[in-house]
Amino acid sequence: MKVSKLQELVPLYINGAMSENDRRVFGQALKQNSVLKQEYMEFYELDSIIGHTESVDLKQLEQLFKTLDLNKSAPAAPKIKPEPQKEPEQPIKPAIPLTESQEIRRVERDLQNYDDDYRPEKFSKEYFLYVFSSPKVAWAIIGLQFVLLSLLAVFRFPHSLPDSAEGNNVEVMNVVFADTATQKDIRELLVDMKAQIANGPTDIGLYTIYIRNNARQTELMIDRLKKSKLILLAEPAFAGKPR
Amino acid sequence: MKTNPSAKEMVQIDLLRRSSGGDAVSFKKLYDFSSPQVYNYLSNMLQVRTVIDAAFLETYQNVWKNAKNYRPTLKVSIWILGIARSIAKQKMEHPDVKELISQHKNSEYNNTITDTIDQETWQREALRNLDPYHREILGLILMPHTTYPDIAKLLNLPLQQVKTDVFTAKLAYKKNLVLDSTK
Repeated sequence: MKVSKLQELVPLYINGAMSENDRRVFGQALKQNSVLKQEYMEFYELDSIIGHTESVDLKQLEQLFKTLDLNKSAPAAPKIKPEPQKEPEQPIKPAIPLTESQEIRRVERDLQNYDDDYRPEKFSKEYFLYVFSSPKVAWAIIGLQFVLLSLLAVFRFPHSLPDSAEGNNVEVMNVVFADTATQKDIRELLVDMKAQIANGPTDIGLYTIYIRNNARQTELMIDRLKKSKLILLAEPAFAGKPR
Repeated sequence: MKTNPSAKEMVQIDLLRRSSGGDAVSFKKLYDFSSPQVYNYLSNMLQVRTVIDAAFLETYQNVWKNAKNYRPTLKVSIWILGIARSIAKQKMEHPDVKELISQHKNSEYNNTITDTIDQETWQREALRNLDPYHREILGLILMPHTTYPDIAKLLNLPLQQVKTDVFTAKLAYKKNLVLDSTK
């Protein structure tokens, strides 16, 4: 590679933007080439003058959080602790630099921590996505569906009329409608009497109907049925009450 | 310290995405990641502490407001620097700020000639006396993990021009060094 091209790479070598492999190759070129070494010294000197702050004063952060319109999930701005009493100075231990793989692990660990900490703002779009993507919620929905299906299975059968719900009595009647009775007439009669067809017609035109009412009214209803012009025959069924 | 830029970048994109949804905890972490670079950049450009602090605050207020507008065609750090840059430029054009910077330069110069002049002071003076663009581009290329293409995107300039400008800026710095040492 030409020296001019290598010179371009000097700042990247200093600022750490080079890959590990490129750094090694460049380091070797740097040892052998005096022009490159001079360039490196100049940039190194500049870098030390420009300086790089490692962290910004906490006051800045405190002020920033005061001015921003943050929601309730915002952490309290960090409190600035008063300067502790200075202890006798001790020699500063140099920080042990992490290797590349250690650094990647650290970043991955940080990323994991972000996931653990993550709680989106309540009732936002992210909040609902976050809640409904939770496995706990999925299992709860499955459980609820199971209970609903079970309840539906128990109560859906047509013959499972409530036996005698408080004050109610169910009578089963066999009836034969007159030939002149229209479907509309029959329906109106049944609705009026709170009755419903459970079975029929048989070969001889016999229907089985349920009449739901309290005991006294049921007798009146049977009587009414018997007197109705729409009915040829109305007799209590021998099978008894439906279950 | 050498770190893996892609892993770090992934973390920063994730933090910015969460910040855009109003997650203040993520925003605080993003701030921790990026604030030293931003502060250094603004210090290099604006030089006066009060102006730097104001610009710094405005930068992060804008990051918070505009996080949802981020598109991953830029590194997060460069996107934030872009915001800092436009705020710094606005400040530098303001007459009051110009006056403050000028006063600051004069006071620094007076201190320099009365104190003992060592090599580091010369170097600082040489850097301070560079024109703002040269000072900016040298600051950017020495910023951790920044590459020429990053700077080209930030300044909206062709890549080759950025490389040439870095070279020219360093020459100007060297020229200032010589001038200062002969004063």
